Amino acid sequence: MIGLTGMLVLELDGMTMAVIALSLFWIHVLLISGAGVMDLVELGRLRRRVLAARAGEVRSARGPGGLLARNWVEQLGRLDRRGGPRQIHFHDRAQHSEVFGGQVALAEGGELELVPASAGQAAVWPELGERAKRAGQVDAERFGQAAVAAGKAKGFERIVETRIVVGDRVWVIDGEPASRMILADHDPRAWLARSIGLVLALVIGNVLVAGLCTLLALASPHFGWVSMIGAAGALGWFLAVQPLGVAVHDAVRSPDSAFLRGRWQDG
Amino acid sequence: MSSAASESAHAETWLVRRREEWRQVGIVAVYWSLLAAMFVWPPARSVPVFAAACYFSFLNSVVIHNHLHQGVFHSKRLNLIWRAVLSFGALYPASANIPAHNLVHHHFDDDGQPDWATPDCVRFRWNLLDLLHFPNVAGPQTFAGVQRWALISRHPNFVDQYRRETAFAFGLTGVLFVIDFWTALFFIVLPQLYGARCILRINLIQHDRTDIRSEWNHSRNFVGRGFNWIMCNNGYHTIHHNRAGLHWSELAEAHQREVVPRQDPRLDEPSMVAYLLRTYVLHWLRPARLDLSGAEAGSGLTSREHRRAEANDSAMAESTA
Repeated sequence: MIGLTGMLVLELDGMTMAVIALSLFWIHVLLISGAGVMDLVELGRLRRRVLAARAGEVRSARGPGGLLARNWVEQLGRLDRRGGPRQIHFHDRAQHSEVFGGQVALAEGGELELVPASAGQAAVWPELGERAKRAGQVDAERFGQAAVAAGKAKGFERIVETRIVVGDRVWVIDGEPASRMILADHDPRAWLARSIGLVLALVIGNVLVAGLCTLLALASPHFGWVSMIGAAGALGWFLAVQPLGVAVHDAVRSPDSAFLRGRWQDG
Repeated sequence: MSSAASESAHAETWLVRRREEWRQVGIVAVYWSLLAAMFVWPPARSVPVFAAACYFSFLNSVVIHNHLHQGVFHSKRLNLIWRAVLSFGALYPASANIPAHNLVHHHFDDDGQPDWATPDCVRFRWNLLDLLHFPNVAGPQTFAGVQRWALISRHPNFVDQYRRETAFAFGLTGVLFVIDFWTALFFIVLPQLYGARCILRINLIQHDRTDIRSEWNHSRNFVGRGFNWIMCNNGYHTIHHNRAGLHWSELAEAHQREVVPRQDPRLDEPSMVAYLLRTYVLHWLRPARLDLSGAEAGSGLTSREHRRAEANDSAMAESTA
């Protein structure tokens, strides 16, 4: 049995606990940055393909109504229960892409024949800001019925579709044996640059903030006011960087599978 | 036995619904005693007491899990107060378990999107890093999911109760910081976070490389008797998923009766420690997905939608004082 003396032998003094706490802090800081590096590696693989994207204009399409390709998100809307103005909150259930096939006149000259392809073989990238804006526009006539449906157990189902049709500008990223063909309705280099920037900011910023907190926590005199501010900062950063890491990871999902969500508000 | 009949059969126990609940009350009492001892009595700030506090913090989260399925006490008001007590121990509002665990995780589905604590949310090649990193992803996904669910929830008291638990957990921890910053940080917050993060890791441990589409091969069970005594039978995970209304004290028997004849025997692990060593320490890479096709013998269950609706009704009844 460990008596009082024995317990004192295994005493955990402030310095030992500080080392333990900082070690745990840094393990998780590095894990979060490490996960960011994995996102960067994937974006890096995509970069080579995106830089080779070929711009053009849709000349003909085999889909209904001159449809070359589409991306659609299945959403379920549910009524806000908190009171106040009526709102419907949307939740993504699934994202899909489909290419019907057609011809694209390339800006560099020549034509590109696209064959039909469904999910797994092709991805259609919508411009995310424009899609979110379109999906958020409240249809005043439809809102009443939608709110009634959203208040029921089944919810209000809707589909948000992005279409690429004859006459549209399009960017084509050719498929490779191990990857899907990508069709974008916007220049995908802007999305890629923003995504790489976001992840780099997380990876580097995380280490810098953690380093600053650590420097303050280790300031002399140990366990003084400055040290305390550093430790409180480290705890705060430990709690904050986790949702930040997830938010960044979600923000760089490829546009064909990016979350849409959103809401409608009455009036 | 129906839940109403079951409850009346146990109504003679004083204060708690079943006498087995005293084990859970005891776990929480021991945990608070360990934290209090370390906070006020410097000789208690030692390796064994600190390690015990971390372990009991994990057990406190196990009690949260059980309590949010079936309240410990006869009094619903006392059950709501108990949630706040448990929330301090884990530094998160216990009621988060209703959407995160009872309504989403149990059915591996959030209205068509994956479970917020899906094992697929981590992807390091070195599997030990997956275990360490898992709460960094599953935790934020869970709390973001809870926030979204709270906006549309029909549970009338959820938001108020959630706020009360948050205020108590963070308020009391804040008071301890004001009294003695370093002691609170090292001997209160570290154990709190350890328990909260380990209960998230259990999702990975119990479901990684199983088949969540299956009705009987979706979970890994840890069937050691001593382990299940202190863990209040939380090792029997398959039957708990499928019969969420069953009290934890009845899970061992139900596991033998319903799960063993139906599930792939590789999903019964005699020891969690041995499993953790084998999976995360002795092997570098994440194991392959188990081929469980054809292993399942009949469902014998109502649909997942039906079970989710039952869980929702039960949680709503438990949350109303």
